[in-house]
Amino acid sequence: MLHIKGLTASIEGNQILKGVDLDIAPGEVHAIMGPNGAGKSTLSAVLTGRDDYDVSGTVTFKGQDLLTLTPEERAVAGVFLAFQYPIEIPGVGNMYFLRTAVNAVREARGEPTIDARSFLDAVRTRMAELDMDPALLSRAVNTGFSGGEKKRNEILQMTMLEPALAILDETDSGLDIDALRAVAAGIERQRHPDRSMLIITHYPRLLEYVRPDVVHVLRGGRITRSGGPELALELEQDGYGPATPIPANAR
Amino acid sequence: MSQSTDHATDQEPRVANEAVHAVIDREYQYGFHTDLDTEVAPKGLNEGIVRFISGRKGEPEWLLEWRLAAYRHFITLEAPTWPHLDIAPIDYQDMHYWAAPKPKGPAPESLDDVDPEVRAMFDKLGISLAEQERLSGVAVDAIVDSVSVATTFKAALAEVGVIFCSFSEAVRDHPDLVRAHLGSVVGPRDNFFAALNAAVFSDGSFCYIPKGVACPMELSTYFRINTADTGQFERTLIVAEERSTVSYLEGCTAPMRDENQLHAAVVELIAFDDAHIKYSTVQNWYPGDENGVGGIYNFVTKRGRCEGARSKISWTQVETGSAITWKYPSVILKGDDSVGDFHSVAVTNNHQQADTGTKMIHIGRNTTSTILSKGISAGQAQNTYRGLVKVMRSATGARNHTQCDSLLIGARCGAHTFPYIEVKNDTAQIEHEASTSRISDDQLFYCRQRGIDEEEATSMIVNGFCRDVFDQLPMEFAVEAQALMRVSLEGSVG
Amino acid sequence: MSDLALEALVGPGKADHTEPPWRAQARTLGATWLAEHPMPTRRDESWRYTPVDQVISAIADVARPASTVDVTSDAIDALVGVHDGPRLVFVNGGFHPGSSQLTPLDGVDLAPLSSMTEHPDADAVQCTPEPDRLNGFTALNGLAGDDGASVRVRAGAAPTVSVHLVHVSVPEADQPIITHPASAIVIEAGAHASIIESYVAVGGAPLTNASTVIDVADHGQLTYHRVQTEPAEAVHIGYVRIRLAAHARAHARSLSIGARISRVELDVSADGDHASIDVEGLYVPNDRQQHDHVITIDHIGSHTRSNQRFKGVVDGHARGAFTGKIVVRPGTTDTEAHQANDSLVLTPHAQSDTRPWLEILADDVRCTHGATIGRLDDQSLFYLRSRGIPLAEARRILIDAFSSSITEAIEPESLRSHLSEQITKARAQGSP
Repeated sequence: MLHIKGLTASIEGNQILKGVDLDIAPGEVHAIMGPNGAGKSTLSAVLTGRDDYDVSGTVTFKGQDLLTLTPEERAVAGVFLAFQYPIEIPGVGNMYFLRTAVNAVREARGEPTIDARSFLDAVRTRMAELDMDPALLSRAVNTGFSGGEKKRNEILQMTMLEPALAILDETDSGLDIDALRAVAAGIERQRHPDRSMLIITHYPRLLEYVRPDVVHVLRGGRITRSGGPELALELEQDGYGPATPIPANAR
Repeated sequence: MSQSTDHATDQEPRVANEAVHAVIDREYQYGFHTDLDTEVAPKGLNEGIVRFISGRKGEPEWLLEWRLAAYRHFITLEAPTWPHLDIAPIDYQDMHYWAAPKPKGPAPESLDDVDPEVRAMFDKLGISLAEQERLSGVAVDAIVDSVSVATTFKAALAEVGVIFCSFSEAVRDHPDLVRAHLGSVVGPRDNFFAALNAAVFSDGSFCYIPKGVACPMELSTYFRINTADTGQFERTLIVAEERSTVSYLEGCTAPMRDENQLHAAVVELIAFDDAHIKYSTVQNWYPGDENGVGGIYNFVTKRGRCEGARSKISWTQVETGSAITWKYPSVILKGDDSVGDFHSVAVTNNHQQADTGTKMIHIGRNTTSTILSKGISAGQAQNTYRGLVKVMRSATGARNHTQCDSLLIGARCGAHTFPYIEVKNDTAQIEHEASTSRISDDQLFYCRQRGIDEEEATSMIVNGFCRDVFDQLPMEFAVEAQALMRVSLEGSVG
Repeated sequence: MSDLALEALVGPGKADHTEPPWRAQARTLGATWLAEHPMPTRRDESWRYTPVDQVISAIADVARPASTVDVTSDAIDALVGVHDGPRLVFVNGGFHPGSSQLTPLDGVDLAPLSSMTEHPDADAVQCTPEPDRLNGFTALNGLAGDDGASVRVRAGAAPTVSVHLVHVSVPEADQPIITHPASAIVIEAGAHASIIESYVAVGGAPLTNASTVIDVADHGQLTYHRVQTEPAEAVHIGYVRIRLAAHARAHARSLSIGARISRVELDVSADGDHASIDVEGLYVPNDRQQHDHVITIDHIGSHTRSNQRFKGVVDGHARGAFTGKIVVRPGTTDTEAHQANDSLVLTPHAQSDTRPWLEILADDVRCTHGATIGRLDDQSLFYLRSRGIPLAEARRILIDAFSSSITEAIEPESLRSHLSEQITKARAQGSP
């Protein structure tokens, strides 16, 4: 599904990613953990196409060269990012935004668009699953939403957009237990043989609810360790360990 | 549209003009010219022309004298200058001050009697009178150049005593009403363009709502400038007696031209006790081509007086056309507990220049004013908000809240905010907030990551920016505003 | 302006061939400007809220100080407070060594302008703004050539005490006097300094026409306090020009407490990239005083920051006005500018005017401004009274709280308490 090879990224002369190698097969859930400043957010920014960075290396997604695509083209290709800090867009209705996004992706793929009625029914169902207040549909995107509501809104969008690759950037940060459970359940429901997930997180909390297949440590701009789900527990107890890189994709 | 992710050069706007919503970059769809048999006065402005206009309209002596007094004052005045507007000097002698399509036969009593060429013109505008009349129940007083062509629904309105007709007709049929109120809000000596208008005004709308009557339909007028070098000098007067309400819609289009055309209108509103006048404008004058050639000069004096206690006047406008816009819809809050509102979206692009805003003058006790101004600048346009909130010593308990936000699209445009807040009463509470920024990269990226392309995302964010103002527009008008700004479809679902 | 009128304002020609070039140039620029332009009127936007017609008629009645006057150091202490650090005192436009304290300060060259004739930095002295920024009053100031301070803080220096510049008017027998104090301040690269400039008088109704020009070189840091506590009948016109080079930072505060007419103009430009400025101010006009502040911040470089915060407490029949203009030039990136003006209007005859203006010609900006005008909050008043505090006291507490947000962060502490005292005194005549 996703093959990253030798990915580097710099911004304003500072090199943040120093050669990342990563392979994710369809249906797999990978977690990336690491200390602050390691490059976790940079990785998600580069994968989704923010143009602030100077990038080199290759990223192949479903056989396509991802790095040459614009952000919206990557979305059409099936990449989704649940933002760490979902931005507010005043005056733009949440429902309208969602439907525009879904139809934009469908049109670009040559698929038929959804009519308003069916869409509304589908959204309402998903919102109930996420334990989201239906009133949030008619509010402006993320405007005045609490932290928990914003993160739920991200997962709601993921549910409606049905991506092939979902990148979840610190989705658990700032959530209380109930919100965390609802969000994690939403993520779990999205598990699918044709869908891969990349969970970027600082704490292992979310991983107790969404069990990863592989855990990687990103440190100093490189993946220094990889292991099974038990690696997350080990990191929690022992910290992040040395900064020297180990051959990529050791499983 | 561009799919490139290459780093934009310093010279390219952050979002190419093509990526901005429909109104900013579409081909001006209304650019055409109807060839009517137009009777045109010789160019120039002098007392003779004033007499010609008054005579041609068959006006009574008192009105001719009123015009002449205004003209004599006008010639003593110097044209105003504004430091922020880059205007070539206007030659007031190089214009026709009168143009009227010659009627074919007697005046029309219903739509079926209207000159077919004129009907065809309105059909091209997409606002065919027939559709208007049958579907939405909106009365239309269509003005072609300087003469009213058709007034619909006169009978229905007459049933409740509402007078809605052309200004010329009002002078003829209701001279006492006109005489009592004409010039009482914008006197001929008020400013340069008010004096000009008072001397040569051609036609406009007159609306009178009697006591206790809620006008049963939205009132609408469409304007059109048809003949080259004809300034449009319409004059509108709306009087709302005690406990009456009326919602008036104004929308304008104009054909493509190479010479600038002058539009110097005057609108006067008077609201008595407990009356409410809502005046909405969607302005769509030809803005000039990408190089700033042609386009309408739009200098309008619009003022409302809240004469009675608890009266209310609301100005709502969406301005998307004209080369130069100079207008400050104002409210004089004379009656105790009166309310003035101003909601505005002003969009400028290419080489357009707008210097707009409002004046709220608080005189009575416990008056309230609300100002919501959203400006959008793109291309090399300059968009200026100029507002005055003035609280006189007598205005005990005055309240004002002002919100002015400007959005910049591209690095070569300008947004300026010049509010004046002058308070002479210690019980007043005034709050003013303003912000200027461009569309945030984070917002754009969020939309794009969801598969929405840059053009659509920009349009969406811009519409969200204007949402609070659009919510103020009457339903029928909101549709046209949406066509101009590609606003959300969301309001109709769920 | 006629030669006769000019002479009354600036005195007989003091220019002679021994005058240093910078002084001669300031005079020439001033004279040329006055010959080609009229004095400002109310119709000039920038002077809209100052009764400039009254100022100009006051000018007709003033005279230049005739003779040197003496003043004790104690008297100065009482007027401006005592702060650690050197102090230069100018009385009636002339340097007064007796009440000055010229304790040497490492890295700081401090001297009266009159002594700068042969000084190596003499040709760099700039006490009037650039020609395109002159107005009638600064032109007069340049032409007059009164004495003032030259302050130069050497590269990398970081003195720990403030430099205090004091301009005092002492009345003469019959006519009110006019003085044109001037100061030239340079903060060199990487230097840090704190400067206090006070305008006071020993009674009378002087007319002060002051000009201060400040240059902050790259990575320099300046804290500048401008304090006007002139007597109730004084007329005060002040102008401060601040230019910031790359990475320069300035924090300026203007306190306008005395004078029946006071207009202070702060003309700031963030010339270099990453320059930043905080401008704060407080005005407390009472009786029939009219206090006006006109601030312009011009963002010329990129990545510049500015923040304006002004508060007014307008009492009696007074008028307080604020104009804050933010200008962002085309071609700049990453500009952030904010501005807030809040005024309390305490009586039915008090008047407050504010113009928070934005002139934005670039798109990579985040600019906000806010203004509020109102009276004391009824709920807060009620809360205090419900706790047993009488109305008059409750009002005083709330008014103090309102203005203290500008004064509470003032350093040195000696200045803060001096200002507190001055404000309390000025407000003591105010409404209960």
